[in-house]
Amino acid sequence: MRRKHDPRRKSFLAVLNKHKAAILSMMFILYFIIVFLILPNVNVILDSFVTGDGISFTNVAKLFRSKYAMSGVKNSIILAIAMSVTVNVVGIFIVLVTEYFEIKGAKILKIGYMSTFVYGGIILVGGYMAIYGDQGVLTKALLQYFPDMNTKWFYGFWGVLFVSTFAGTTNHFLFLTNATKSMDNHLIEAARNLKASPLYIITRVVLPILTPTILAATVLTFIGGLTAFSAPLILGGNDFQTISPLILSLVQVRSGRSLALILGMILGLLTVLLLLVFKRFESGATFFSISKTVSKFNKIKIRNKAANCIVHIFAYLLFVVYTLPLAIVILFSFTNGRAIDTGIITASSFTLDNYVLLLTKSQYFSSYINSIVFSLAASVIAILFVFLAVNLMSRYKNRLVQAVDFALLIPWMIPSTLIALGLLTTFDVPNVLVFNQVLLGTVAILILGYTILKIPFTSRMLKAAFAQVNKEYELAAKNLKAKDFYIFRRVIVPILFPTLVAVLALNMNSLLDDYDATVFLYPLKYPTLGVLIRSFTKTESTVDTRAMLYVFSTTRVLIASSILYIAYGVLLSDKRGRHIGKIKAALRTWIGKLANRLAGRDGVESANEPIK
Amino acid sequence: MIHISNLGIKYGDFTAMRDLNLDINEGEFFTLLGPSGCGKTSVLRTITGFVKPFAGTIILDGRDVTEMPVEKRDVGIVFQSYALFPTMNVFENIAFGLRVAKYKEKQVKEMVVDIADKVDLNHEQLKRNAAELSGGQQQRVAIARALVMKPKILCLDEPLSNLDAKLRHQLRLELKELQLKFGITTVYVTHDQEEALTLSNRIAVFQNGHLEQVGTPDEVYFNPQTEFVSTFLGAISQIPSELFGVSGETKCFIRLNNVYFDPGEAVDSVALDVEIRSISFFGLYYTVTYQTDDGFQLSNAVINCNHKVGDRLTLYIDRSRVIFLGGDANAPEA
Repeated sequence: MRRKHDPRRKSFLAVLNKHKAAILSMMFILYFIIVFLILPNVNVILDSFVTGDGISFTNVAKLFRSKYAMSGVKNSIILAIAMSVTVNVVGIFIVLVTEYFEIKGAKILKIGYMSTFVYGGIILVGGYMAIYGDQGVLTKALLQYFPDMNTKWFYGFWGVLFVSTFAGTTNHFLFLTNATKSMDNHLIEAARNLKASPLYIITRVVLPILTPTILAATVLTFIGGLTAFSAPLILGGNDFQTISPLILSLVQVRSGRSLALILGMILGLLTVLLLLVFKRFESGATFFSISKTVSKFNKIKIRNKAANCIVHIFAYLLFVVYTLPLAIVILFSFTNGRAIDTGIITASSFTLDNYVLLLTKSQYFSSYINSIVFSLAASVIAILFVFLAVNLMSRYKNRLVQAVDFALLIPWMIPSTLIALGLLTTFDVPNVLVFNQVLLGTVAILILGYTILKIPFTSRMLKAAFAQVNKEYELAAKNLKAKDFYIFRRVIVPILFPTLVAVLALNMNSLLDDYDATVFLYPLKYPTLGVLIRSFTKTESTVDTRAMLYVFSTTRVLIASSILYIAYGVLLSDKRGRHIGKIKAALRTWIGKLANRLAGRDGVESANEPIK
Repeated sequence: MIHISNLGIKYGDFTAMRDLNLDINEGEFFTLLGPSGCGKTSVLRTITGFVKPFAGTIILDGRDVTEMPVEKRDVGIVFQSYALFPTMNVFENIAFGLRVAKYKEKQVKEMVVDIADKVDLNHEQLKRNAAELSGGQQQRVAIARALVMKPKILCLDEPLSNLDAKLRHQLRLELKELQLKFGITTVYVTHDQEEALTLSNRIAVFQNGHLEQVGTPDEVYFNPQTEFVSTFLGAISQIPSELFGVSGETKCFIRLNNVYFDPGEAVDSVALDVEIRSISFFGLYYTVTYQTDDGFQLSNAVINCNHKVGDRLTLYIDRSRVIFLGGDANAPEA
């Protein structure tokens, strides 16, 4: 029998054919989301609630009965609230003095305030410990005058809050700086023209305009406070333990995992709730300038001499608070154990022995290489995966795409320790979803974990960048008969290049010394920087290990600065072509030398000849 | 009312205005006109106090305000962007200056409602966010916000430049009505010559950081003192100088509306043989461009056009309307 012609069927096939690349991409994205973002977390949840008798809430009851756990939850909320206030005060102040007011030496101040961009987490806490800790310089100096003082004065809530505040201003600096710079100068001039004082302008015009940015930074600060790890872990002591260190200690014992999960879920729920409140607030008001033309913002001079003097004093005091730990860390990294122990530095105290040890002890050196390789790999994979997803999101608007968009945020809702735990418990036996492989104990699971942790941030950044791509570029290219892939390669990617480089650099930097996820996932053969540094910060650490902490911290800062320099100073510089040319030439020379050596030829004559 | 003498404005090494002398009378609608970068906005910003001059003085209502800060000058300003505070509603925007001046809330309310009535903003609109208003309404809010403070001078920095042509035309009329209603001395900055001609009592034309000419709209339009002013203010055509018995450096120009087909229309006419090069339709009228045998191009506007491109005809130019510039620039005896 002849088959009847079915135009609908034909058109369905045609549609399939037309969108085959998108369909294949979507299938891969769904596979990744289901297998790596959803399944491991569902497994952990099931582990906690499902017992032999079915669903049970015994663990929840157990958690609520535990004084220790409840005090952790309470402390986390207290820290988050306190940080929301202190980080805003400090964060807004440093942005005002670097971007809004005319302050002498603003550029230097800015560099100091930006130090948190290149060091954070355990290293930053270590830096503050070097000054204020029980072995710290300041504590030792104070001991000379107050021999009976409590050497652990910096431990507990106030110490945690102090360190978390100065560690937590990165988001404020990042977002508020841009928002302040892009403010319409006419708004300030209009207010001045209406006789408003500088303080009145700040409180009634500037801050209300910056409200959404401040709020976004506050939400991130609040989440940072809730999930704070390094500061409470090292400085919290027994009196001030928060959820994240608690989760870490609970997951390390099998019986505590379900409690850790419930604690993690509380964290996740609080985070989601905050994000929802923020979204609702954001959609309810107008904060952006309604002007069609925006005039360039000019810094404001503080005319009142006394006020100007006070603002300068505070600005420089904060500069010292920000930079002193880093300066001490760098200084101590070049001194011997005696200087570190006594806090007295003489000419004979300086040594390079610590650095020699770093380069010669394979365990130390390889931890650097491991961290760089793993974090680079994860950052690249996260960008490629999210790029694929966001590219689809920008082309298709349907429920599936919306679901993918939401799914990419899952890792923000779950503490990283639990994400790591989920991966660990899901892939510790051969699993058909990963081609019957056991991932536990392999490098793959660590890179996978890092990738997952970086997906939400990458997705937000790339989505925003895609939204800013003028659709007419694509239409213009299509009109000039360019194929889709050609447009993508030659038009879209170059426009997004700055964002891609920035995200790569930021992702890599934040993963370099990760500890909370790494501690569960790293293969014992490949220790990373975070694991090693943590071992140096333990209270029982010796003078020698503290010296190594400073060396690790200094080199970590150096690597972070180099990554940012390569990203912003080379790849995103206006003189990019020239820089890349120089790098290529240097690489050619180096490869030439190497090739000559391998060939057993005299390298001197031919080393400068580029490889053709 | 405003007396500016020997004013000089610099931004770093760049001189935005050189040796400006200008007097603006009380109640006058005075326009600073010129192309982008000519220094007109710098002059306005110096009057308001946002820019400090490096030389010269500014006297406002008998007070030397050259060194005086913005907030003490009693000069209201409406920005090109209107600069309405986006986080406040219309009422709060207008009340902003009154609240800064610590007026009682009852007075604030009365004054805001009063000024809103005068600029035709209703009570419903006062409750709305400025972002929800149309361009025209936003302009009225910005004017109300400035006027409620009862300034002695109102400065307007290209307030119509962001609007579409129709709205711009409508608001131009509203602006003029408001200025007449309040009788306030107004300094207006624009690059739009039509706006300047229709709104102003007097116009100051600027180019490259110096003042070219000051005068009434009629004066600057029909008797420009420089070639720049003649070409900047409306369409103008250069015509052969030999026709009028002038030579050397002197150039002759004629406005579009002083070129005729009929010798009877011109009082003292000069004939000119031309060929039609193009005809453009503008709805209400046609603009026809002609070329003389020696290569000069000129245009005129006609209601009806019965000619076609390539037609040859004779035009008549009113000798008394010819503009002589350059050289000794004096009109020769007829």
